[in-house]
Amino acid sequence: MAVKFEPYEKTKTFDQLKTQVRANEALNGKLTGIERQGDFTIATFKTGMSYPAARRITLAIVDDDNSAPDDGFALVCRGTGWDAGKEVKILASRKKA
Amino acid sequence: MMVESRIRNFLLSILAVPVAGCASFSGMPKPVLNIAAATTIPSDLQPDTAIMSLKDKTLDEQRLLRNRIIAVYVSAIDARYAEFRRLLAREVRGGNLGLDVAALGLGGLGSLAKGSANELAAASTFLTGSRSSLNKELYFEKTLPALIAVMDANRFKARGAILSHLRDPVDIYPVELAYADLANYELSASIDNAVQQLTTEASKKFEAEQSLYASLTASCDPDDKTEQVWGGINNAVYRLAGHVDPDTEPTAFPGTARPQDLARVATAFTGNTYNPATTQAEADRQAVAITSAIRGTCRVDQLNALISAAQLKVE
Repeated sequence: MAVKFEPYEKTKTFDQLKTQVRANEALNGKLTGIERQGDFTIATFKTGMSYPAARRITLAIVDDDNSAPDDGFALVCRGTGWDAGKEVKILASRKKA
Repeated sequence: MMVESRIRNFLLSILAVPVAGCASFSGMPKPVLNIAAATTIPSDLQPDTAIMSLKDKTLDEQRLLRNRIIAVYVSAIDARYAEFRRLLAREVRGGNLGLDVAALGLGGLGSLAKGSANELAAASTFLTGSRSSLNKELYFEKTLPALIAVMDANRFKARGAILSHLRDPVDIYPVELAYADLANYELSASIDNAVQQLTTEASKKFEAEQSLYASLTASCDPDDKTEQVWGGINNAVYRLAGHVDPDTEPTAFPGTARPQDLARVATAFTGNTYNPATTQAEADRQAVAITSAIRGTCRVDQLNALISAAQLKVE
């Protein structure tokens, strides 16, 4: 399976980022990482079949590096990104099967 | 006097170098099979005679004759090709090496014959210049292995097409068709065609890189509705590629994959022509090509139009 990268401009709000990362996961396959690079938030996807709506990716802004996902959700990755020009820490999780 | 004698001897050696170069380096062993014997076609197998003789033969006899024609002509074409490759390698290696050695020799003598150093250096420059003007030859030498690889691939393809008909009855694969295929087989070893194929491959690669660059720079802003359609397309496409769910990889190909349908959808979505995949990796590449192609399309009506055009079943 191939890996695909998707850049999101730093001016996007976190809500916009969430929507677009979800859409890109639907199009490309599993999200495997998210990281701030320069003026972009770069999401990495492992290409393949996308998840049904009930198990699509959930992104949340967190305060520290050790934040855990909500109950019933599995950790996908931790990373960094932009929320309307402000750097934030991001936790990506998915509902458990 | 001693210097003059050395110059005379050296000038003679310059004359000898290209000749030696041409005679010594063929890059492959001399063939055991005599080219003339291998390419002599018996008179009863010449097209006119063979085709005229068909009317007096049963279908089985015609099939035997056809297969004999194929065997003899394929061997003759192979022998000619082997000779062609031998001469090709010899021409390129011999010619270039001759100039290399001559230029090296003159430069070396320039340092030995003090009085004539300038003249010899000039001669050396002249020869090195000739060598530069033959850069295209050098380029040819570098690209020769690629050209030969393309020619070999073309020949294998043409040869396979002919040999696959050996068991066919003559009403399906008649002698006339065999002659036509043999002519194609002979023509498949063409440097011109190989150059053209390599150029086409290079342009295709360039287009692929260009489209990759475009996909990285030009995207759209998808919303929830786009996500739904994109997800539907992704799942439908990966199902065609043999995937059943996001967490498991297919174990065998084709398994549940439908390579024909996948190739049709890939062609419709990308505008490039795809052949049915023969491996899982190839099927996955076609799936990636499809999803990459719609990355810049966020409007649901446009996506639906693409889905209809490709006859893709999206749930």
